Amino acid sequence: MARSTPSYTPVRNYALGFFLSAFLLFSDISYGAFAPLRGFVHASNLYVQMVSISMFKNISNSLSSFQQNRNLVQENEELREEIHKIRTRDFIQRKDAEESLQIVNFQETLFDSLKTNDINLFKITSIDLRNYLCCSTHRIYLQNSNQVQVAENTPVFGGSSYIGQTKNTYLNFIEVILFSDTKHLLPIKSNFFYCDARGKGKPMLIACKLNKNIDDFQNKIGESIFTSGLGGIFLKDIEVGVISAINSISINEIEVVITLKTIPWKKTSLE
Amino acid sequence: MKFSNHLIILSTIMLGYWLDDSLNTISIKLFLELNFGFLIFAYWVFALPEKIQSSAALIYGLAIDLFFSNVIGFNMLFFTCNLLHYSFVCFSI
Repeated sequence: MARSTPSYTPVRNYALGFFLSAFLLFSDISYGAFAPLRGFVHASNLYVQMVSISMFKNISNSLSSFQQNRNLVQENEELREEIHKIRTRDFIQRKDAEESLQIVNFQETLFDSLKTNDINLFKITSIDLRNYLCCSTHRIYLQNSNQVQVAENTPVFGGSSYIGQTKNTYLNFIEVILFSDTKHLLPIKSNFFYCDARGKGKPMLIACKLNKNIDDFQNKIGESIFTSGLGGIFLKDIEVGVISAINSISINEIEVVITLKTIPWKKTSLE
Repeated sequence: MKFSNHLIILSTIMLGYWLDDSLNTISIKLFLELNFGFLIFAYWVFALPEKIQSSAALIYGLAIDLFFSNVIGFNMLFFTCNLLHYSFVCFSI
């Protein structure tokens, strides 16, 4: 038995609310109509978090009597970042040099646009771990404190391999779409096939479908997978992962599952 | 109901969602997803059935979508449907 009764609200209002929210949901899912607004709110949130964290840090620092120790730690951290930056630059330059030996004439123009010494190191500000562990959207946000101009679709490096590419910039934050996001396609190759691998929506997994028989792929699990360089975004021959499973879809169609090499929250840089 | 009262309700719901976001990174490993935010919303609907109307549910949902969701409209739809359910099934005359 009801304790009380609500004030009278016509069903029309509920129907209006229902259709309005359904319309907003549909337009956002299908066309990403509110993506800039969400990006702006997310970036503002991150700013608030950063300001609060920095305020908290300032207070604790002022109370701390270990000033010198803190300076040393900071210097150490800066040196580590510098070393990482040099290593990354060196790695990419080495790959560039290898490329230039093999490159065919018609690819020269394409790779000229990829060769760059302009490597920037960014800290990860936010990882949507909840979505990363359960769902299809795998994004991270990088803090662009030096306000570097970052173009859309710039490759993002983490550890010793690529992890994704830039998608958008909101205020001073760069949104990065990871390879495992279901909306991301990565042109890859191995010794015996080329394909466009799509993110599986599961941590560190991508997959591609091939019109081949599963018998052709006997004993191929564990083989290395490299970027093919065909999209014009990523350098070719960078190892991104290994074949971890081969699933049969139909008689002449298989799915090759690839486990990525790098954990996205290793040190990240933009090439 | 006063605007400040709506703000109190909204901030408690947001606190619930913030708690969900913080705890779910741990609980999801146990295949458990918490939803305190919605529990708090349901509490307010039960506590003040005559005060919370469809427009309030819509605005609470929009605020939650903006701060905690990946798409706009999901929580708006969810809150409106649940308010409709509570109002016309649980508290109907």
